[in-house]
Amino acid sequence: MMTIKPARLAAVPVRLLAAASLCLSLIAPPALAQDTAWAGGDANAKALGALYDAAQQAKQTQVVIYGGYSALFKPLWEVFHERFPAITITPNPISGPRLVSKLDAEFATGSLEGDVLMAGMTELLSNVAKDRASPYKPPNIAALPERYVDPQGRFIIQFADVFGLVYNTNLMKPADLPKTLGDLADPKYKGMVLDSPLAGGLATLTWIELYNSGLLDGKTMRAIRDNASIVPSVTPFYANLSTGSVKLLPWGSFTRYIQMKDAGAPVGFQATPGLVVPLYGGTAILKGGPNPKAAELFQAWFVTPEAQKALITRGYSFPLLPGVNTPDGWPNLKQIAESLKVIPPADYMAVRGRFEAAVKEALR
Amino acid sequence: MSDIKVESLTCRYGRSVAVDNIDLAVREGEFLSLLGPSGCGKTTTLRCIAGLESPAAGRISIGGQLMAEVEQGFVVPPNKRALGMVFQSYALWPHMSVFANVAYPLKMRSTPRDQIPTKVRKALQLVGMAELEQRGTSELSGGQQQRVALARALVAEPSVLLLDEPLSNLDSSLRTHMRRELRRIHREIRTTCVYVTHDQLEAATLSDRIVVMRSGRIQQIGTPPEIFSTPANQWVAEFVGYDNFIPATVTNREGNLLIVQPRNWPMTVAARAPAQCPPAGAGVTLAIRSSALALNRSGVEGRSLQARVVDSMFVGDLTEFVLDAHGSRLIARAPERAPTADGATVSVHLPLDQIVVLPAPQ
Amino acid sequence: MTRDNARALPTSVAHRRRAGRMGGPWGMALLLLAVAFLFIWPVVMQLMGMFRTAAPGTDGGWSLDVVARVYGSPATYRYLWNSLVYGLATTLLATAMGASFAFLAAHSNAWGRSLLTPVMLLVFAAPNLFYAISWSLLADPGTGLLNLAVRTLTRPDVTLFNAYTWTGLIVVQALKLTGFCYLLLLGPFQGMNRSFEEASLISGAGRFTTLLRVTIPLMAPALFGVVIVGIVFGLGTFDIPQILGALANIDFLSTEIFKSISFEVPPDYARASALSLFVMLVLAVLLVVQWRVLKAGRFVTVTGKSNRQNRWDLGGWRYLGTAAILLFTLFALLLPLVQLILTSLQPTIGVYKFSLANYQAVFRDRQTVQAFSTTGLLAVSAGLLAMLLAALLGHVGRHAPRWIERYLDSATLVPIIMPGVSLAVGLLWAYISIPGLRSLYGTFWLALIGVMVAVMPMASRAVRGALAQIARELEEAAAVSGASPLRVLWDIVIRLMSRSFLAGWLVTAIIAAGMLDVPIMLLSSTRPTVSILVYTQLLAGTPTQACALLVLLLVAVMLLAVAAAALIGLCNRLARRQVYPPIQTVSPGV
Repeated sequence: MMTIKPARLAAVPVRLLAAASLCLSLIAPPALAQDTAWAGGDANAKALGALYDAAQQAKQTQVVIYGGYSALFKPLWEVFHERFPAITITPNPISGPRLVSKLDAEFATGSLEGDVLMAGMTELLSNVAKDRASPYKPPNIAALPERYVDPQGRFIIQFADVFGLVYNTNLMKPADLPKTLGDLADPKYKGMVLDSPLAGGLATLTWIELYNSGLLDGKTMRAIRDNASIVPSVTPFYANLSTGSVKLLPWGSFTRYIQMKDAGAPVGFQATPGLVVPLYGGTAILKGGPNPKAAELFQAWFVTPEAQKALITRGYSFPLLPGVNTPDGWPNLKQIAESLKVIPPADYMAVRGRFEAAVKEALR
Repeated sequence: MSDIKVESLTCRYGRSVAVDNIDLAVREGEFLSLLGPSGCGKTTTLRCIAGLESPAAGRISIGGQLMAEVEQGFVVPPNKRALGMVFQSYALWPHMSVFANVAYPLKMRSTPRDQIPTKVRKALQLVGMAELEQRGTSELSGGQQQRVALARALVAEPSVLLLDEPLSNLDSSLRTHMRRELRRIHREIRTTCVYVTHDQLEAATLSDRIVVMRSGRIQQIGTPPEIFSTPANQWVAEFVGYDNFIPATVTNREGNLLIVQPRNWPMTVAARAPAQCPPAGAGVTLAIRSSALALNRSGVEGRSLQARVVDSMFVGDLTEFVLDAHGSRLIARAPERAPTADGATVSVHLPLDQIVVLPAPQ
Repeated sequence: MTRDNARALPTSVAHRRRAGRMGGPWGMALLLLAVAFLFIWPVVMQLMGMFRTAAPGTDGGWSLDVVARVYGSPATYRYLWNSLVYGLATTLLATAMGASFAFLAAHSNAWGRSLLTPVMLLVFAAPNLFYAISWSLLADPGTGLLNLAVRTLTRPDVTLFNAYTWTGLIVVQALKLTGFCYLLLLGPFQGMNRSFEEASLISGAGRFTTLLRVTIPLMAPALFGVVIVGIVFGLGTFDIPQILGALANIDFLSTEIFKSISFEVPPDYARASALSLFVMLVLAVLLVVQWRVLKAGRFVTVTGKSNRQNRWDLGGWRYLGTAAILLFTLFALLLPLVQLILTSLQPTIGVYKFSLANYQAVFRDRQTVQAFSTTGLLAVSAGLLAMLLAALLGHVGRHAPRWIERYLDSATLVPIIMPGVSLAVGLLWAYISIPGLRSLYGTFWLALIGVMVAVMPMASRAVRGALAQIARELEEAAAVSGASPLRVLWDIVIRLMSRSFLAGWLVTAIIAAGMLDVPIMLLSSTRPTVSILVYTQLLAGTPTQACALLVLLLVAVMLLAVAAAALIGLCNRLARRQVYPPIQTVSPGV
């Protein structure tokens, strides 16, 4: 099994530190494997070393990563840079429409600036469908469960976030929280903040999963919508949640919650079964990017125990590599995932289409 | 060479014609005034010469060099015409000092840097502003601004100086003073000048020749005495200050004199025959200045005219009388002090050499 | 001595279109084409998108579906109505406040007037998003600091302030917009010839009547510029409607546009363009009104006859002016600014523990210092470029046939009708489809051009108001003196409107510094601007670090403004001192 060497934890908040060291102590590292544990073994370490050499020989000194997650994971890139000092990761937080248009333009003219696309499923799939991904399976990929890897190697899923009830602990007690989707229509939750399920934002992405699993019907959709304050985007309202002007986000990000909690905000997270939804993210190497070798190295590194562990401590996200365990108190991703029906990537767009038709009908 | 030739110049603003096919020649060193009421096209003509307006037709040349030939599509822009110009509002640049304002044309014409101060001071001295060169333009009085504007126009020693009603913003005593100054300066530098004004007095005192314009056309060109003593038509006469117009018929000619019969008068009047003498029986208009009519309150002389006083009005150094002479309304100005009672009869003397015979208005 | 009269105004409107054509027909044609490419082409390309089934630059057919869907939906007209009310109300309020304060600063003796420019600068420079967040924290009906303060003074059930209402939205946006209006109006007010006002006072009009009947009408070109930009901006602005409008349950065109392009994959630019068409229509109507109302030559206040400036003694009204200045400073600047600074010291919004940790984190990031220098360079040079080009186009327009003037006038405004993302995408496609420019993609230079285009509407309004005030004879005098049209522009026109020019430069530079969409689309990933870093922080869930960056940005803007003020002071002093030493004796005669 893989072993993890305690990485630099100095900058990590105390709570996480405790959690992380707890999980480290459970899988005590054999002394001999110390030097290569970060990569998940000698072979992997050697393979990554070879990739590093190749990138250096090609004089590739950076990897440009497009996508909003590249901003969230900025602290992780320091870990990478320490491991491979000759290469820096340049995050470009461009996302949403800007990202789509920038990629459209770059591919149309062949003047590519980005090396790696890091995004959620929808964006990954839409770009893969446009034949923009360069297939690549890193030498250490076998460690990752097969379902997270595109069979042709065009993209890899490496991380997840869980969306559940995020609430202000001064205003609500865990007992007051909704137990089912239907409870969200209760007038006592009036004013909870939700983006429009029709708009393609967070509500759309989470509802697709719930709808696909048969948990959410048209009537409930409508009742929830009518009970919520519909905003263009949920993101700015995490601030209102911690100040108390918003009590509840029915689908709030666990990543945001843990960040706010660590900063001392009075917020709580509840992973209520039947309500909570995980959303996955991953990366694809862009075809014709300026630093393909460095991009391959990155792709390989991101599924190493070192990177996956740093996802927890520095990226506040769920790693997907087996054996890298999340701290106590984090929701059990595996359980949550299993409670929902899996949508194979190939079917995702079709499911989304069915959902959109249903939601339009329900909210008319 | 710095003569100006304007041939068949026409200038339009949209549909309205500002200058209508005029020809004009300004001789070298001459001071020429364009005189006329506002809207007569005099300023437009000047701006065409300066290159600030694009004419619709015609040719303009300065010093033998073609400046604009509309038919060929040839126009020299104003900055390449090497002119000096004084604007009605002075157009001093408020962000520059007096010195900088005057030095500007020199800089634009690439005068060697070390010559600029001398030339600027000479120009300022010429207009009597030598001591104020460091001032900002906002610290100057109107007259001083006027002088600076003149210095700026002169500093680059242009072959032609254009002046657009430069004195119209000054008060009357300052205007008289500046008129004399302009005359002195022109005597000194002998630059060809084109001067636009609506003030006949300015035109008379300053000009070698005057061009009288109306509605975009030239009415008369001549020296000041010619314009003032033999206006070409009633409109010019009126504009240069004639205020009595009497319709009459030519009776006959006696040598240099023309005998005419004013309508309804019991007597004929003799006047100097004009160059183009109308035949006997032709209708004419007699023009006389009010100041040329002499009044005699008591006596009745042979050829003098009897008239009734309708109104009299004290106007400073003179008294103005409104008279009725056999149905003709006359205005006379005489150095009388005491007003005359309305209705009194006076005799009016018509000085033969001050009567101008004009063609009858159509 | 101030003796002006009506005769001093340019002799006729007609003169404007005749004199001093620039550059010949080929030069003019080239200029018109360049303007079309820079300002119209990217926008038209995006607008065409509403008839297309695919994103710009990609294959796709033509269709009327989107148009039918958007214009056939009654909800669209509700958004339009809300946006119109919002744009009009905020603009009128902000213009009234901006003009009043510009008047106080330029012409009055009210105490505190010297505070106004720095205050307005900061209000204007404060980013919209954080202005909105600050106000939502201040005037939240439940936990807003202002309400808490009022409750401790009165009774615990009092809720005096509520940002999540129409009133709240309009007041907050108007406070923010006032900074813009003030900065663009200050130059024209300062350049105004006092004799017009004196003439009115002597004609028996009171001060207030004079202000209303003489001062304000003379300011019409500048006011129109501000109103046009304000209304169109109000239709398109997103941040305050998003943060405050969503909880007030008010939908706007801008929030709908945001939804159509932000969440659809691929983004629904077609719907965004269809919605933006309303903005374009409003702009067109405003421009036509402007052209009909404003006739050239009527607004000349800077003439060749010099005059002195002196201030009005407001008498007792002075105290009212001072009170207004202080009240505005408190509500438009201090409260939101203090809130912003407090937030930047907090670990997360809403947790009242204070430390410098955010600043430390910001400085630890190796990109921070570079981002500030990139932003500074980009903003200052794009602002300057925009102002110079605006001055050139305005100058050319004044001397060209009327259709060219109107073409230039409207072309420079066109970029404002597109929401930021759409404009940035349009620019990207426009540049990347031209081979020569394509090689500039990802470099500073292309981003510079893009940002310049995006701030051009503001630059052209700043210039237009100021140009209208300059008497033509001042330009003609220079032309006759031998200056070429470009020299006239540089030596005379730009100098005469230097105050407005500098204000416009500052305003456009500040807008450019806060701009996200254009730099993120055109700039290299390795050289982010401060806005991109701020955006990074927001995405990373650390809004308080974003606040720290913004506080630093505000400090940088202030330092820049102070440096600019010092530079101007120095220039003025140098200009007053003569280059040539006076000589005592010169031989007479020429």
